[in-house]
Amino acid sequence: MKKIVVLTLWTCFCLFILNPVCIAGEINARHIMQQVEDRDDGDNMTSEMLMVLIDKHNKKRKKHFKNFAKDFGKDSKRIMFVMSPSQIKNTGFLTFDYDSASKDDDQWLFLPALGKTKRIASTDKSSSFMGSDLNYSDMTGRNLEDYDFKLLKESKLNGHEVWLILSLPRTKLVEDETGYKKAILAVRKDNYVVVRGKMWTNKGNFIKYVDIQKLERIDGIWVATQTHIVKKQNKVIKHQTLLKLSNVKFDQGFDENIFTIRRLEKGLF
Amino acid sequence: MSGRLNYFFLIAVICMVFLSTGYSVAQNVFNKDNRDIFLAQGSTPGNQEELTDDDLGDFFENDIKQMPEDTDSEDLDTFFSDDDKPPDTPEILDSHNETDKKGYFFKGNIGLKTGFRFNYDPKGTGSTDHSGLSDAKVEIDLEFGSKVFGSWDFFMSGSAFYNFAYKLNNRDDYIQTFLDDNEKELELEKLFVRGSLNRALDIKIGRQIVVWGKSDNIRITDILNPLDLREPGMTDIEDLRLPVFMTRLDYYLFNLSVSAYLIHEHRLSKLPVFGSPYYSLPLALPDESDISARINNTEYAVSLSATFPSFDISFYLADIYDDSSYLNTKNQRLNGRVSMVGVAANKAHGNFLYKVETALFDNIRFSAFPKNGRLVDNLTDYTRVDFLGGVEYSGFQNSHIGFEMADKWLTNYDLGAEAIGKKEHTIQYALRVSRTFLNDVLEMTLLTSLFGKSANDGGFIRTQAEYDLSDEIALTLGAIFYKSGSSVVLSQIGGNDVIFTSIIYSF
Repeated sequence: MKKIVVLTLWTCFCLFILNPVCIAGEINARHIMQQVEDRDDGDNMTSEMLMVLIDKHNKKRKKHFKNFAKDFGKDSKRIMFVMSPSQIKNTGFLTFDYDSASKDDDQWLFLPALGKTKRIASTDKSSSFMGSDLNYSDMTGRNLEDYDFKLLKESKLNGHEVWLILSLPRTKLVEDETGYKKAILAVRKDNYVVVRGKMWTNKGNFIKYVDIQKLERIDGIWVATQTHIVKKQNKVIKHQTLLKLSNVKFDQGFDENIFTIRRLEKGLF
Repeated sequence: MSGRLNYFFLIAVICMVFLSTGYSVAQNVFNKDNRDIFLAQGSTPGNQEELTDDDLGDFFENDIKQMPEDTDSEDLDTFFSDDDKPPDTPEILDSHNETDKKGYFFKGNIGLKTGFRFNYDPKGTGSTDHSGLSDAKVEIDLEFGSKVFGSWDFFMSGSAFYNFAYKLNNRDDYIQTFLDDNEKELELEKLFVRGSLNRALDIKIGRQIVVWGKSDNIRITDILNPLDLREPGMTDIEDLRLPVFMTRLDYYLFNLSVSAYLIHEHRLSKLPVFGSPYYSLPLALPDESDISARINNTEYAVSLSATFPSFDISFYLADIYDDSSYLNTKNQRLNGRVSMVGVAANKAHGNFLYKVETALFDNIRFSAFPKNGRLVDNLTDYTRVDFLGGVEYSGFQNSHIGFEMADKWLTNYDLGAEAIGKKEHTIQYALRVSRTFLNDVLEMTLLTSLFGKSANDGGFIRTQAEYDLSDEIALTLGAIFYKSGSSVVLSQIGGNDVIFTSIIYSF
């Protein structure tokens, strides 16, 4: 009898802990996020980006960039030039984004005022990207293994069915590196695009709301062409960022030489 | 019998567990009322925060009426409160004009810079009193760039300033050489054309800046351009290097680049002149030698750079005129020709960037020195080995910390060098800390550069805050504190402490 009780308890334990149905939420959410990650986001892309930064007094600043991106297998390379404002015009960023989690991204910054190209070392991606409400982790791909995902519910946004997924960093290290302790993402069911997100920063108790306001299909690729990010603290708006992508083109057949320090230093000419 | 009962008991329990868990999962996957169960299952160390109704708000729910499971009106009232609604998008995006395709750009800035020297002690009767207003400088910088054809482009820049401070203070109080050097300036800076001769070979001809090395604050291998050192620590870093006319060829192969430089213009660093508060000698020095731009005076340099994942390395060779002049017994101020071989590397690891640089300089000449009661020429060719180690840390949010340490070692140090105040080892430390606030609107910077093994042999500490009033207008407020040292250059620098401001309009 004792054996039976032990066996019963063990079976119950296994059923509770290991039953695949029990962890269906996790599997579904992870599956969805994997689909988001695997979604075709295009290659050989060029675009222009207008970034409008709005402070709590509604004072606006604008930055204008030209971007080029190309995939190299699972890795990707991007080069970006500042077109305005005048103070930082022709400043360039070159990034080699490696898929392997064990390999840090390579980043270089060209400062035309100094005529100098400088390597940037920063595993920490929690710093603001060019003063915006996005940080560097928002601009690079995420390693899904660093997160737990939970499917919270289904909903509808702008007439489209979405999944709401909770994303939690698995370690304090990931939390510190990305700057977020928690995020809820709305993923459209029909195209696996994250169309809305709410992110909790791990410092300062800020909440960021990311809203894709315009989603366009360009050359068969879904592209968020207008995004609104609002940063709040205690329900008070502290800062906002608007991003607008224009002249988005794919399959431009870029030469590999575009993604080099040589090009970074030459600028857009 | 009991065995069979046990068996049924086990099956029953398994079925109940299975059904209960399956039901629970089925309910919870798409039912917000029970989602906390999922969160509890998924909680991991470091992310134990509970999700509350307020976390979702109505930010994710603009089709509330279409949610069949949202039946509890009381819950809806709190859960979908308007507080979480994103604000309306400002109309600003609609007014955005996309890139012009002119193929050229013109930009610049105009600014007013002021300085107040608050701790100055005139060196003696008859010396200029530099205390009080030191700068009231109107400055303009212009840049023009244009695509010429194909891969060829053209660039030019220039600057001008006028310092009203001396007029306001009374020009007659200043020595003319000082006024000539500091009151006004009109300068053609960069002027070059560049292009590709073929797929792998670039050429750039004209006045330009070449930055060698990996360090940011202490120069070891960065020797091709002279510097503006008229006001040490005060010159903006973008104005520090002086462009020189050269022909540069760059050849690219995979992750390697080989560059060759022919330097045609012999431009020397701008140093404090007699009458300047930064000038440390009691008498004026003769003018520096004017090295004519003849073919046999051409300076040569070569570099090889390689880029690897997380690691860059560069090798340098140069045969150039020494920027530091020496005096001979005929009171001539000459610049010797030195050769340099150097290497610089940096390695990124996590949030750290490690840097090393080393260079060997040969044929360095020093000034004549007193021996047996008379001045004799120093005919020794000195050799110096410079070494720099540095580290940068970018792990704090929106912050950057960089530290560098260098030792410049005269390997054949002798009495001749000692007699003119040279040291066998010149040790320098530099620390730069910067942090941005308010979404990059405000940047605070602290820069310290100190000499001596115990950092007590002179240098400066500069601190400043730069605030962007708008995209076009930036305000700066800062202070710089000097500390005198035992070397000739730094012996009188203390007391030049300055509070400075600037307002710059960029267009």
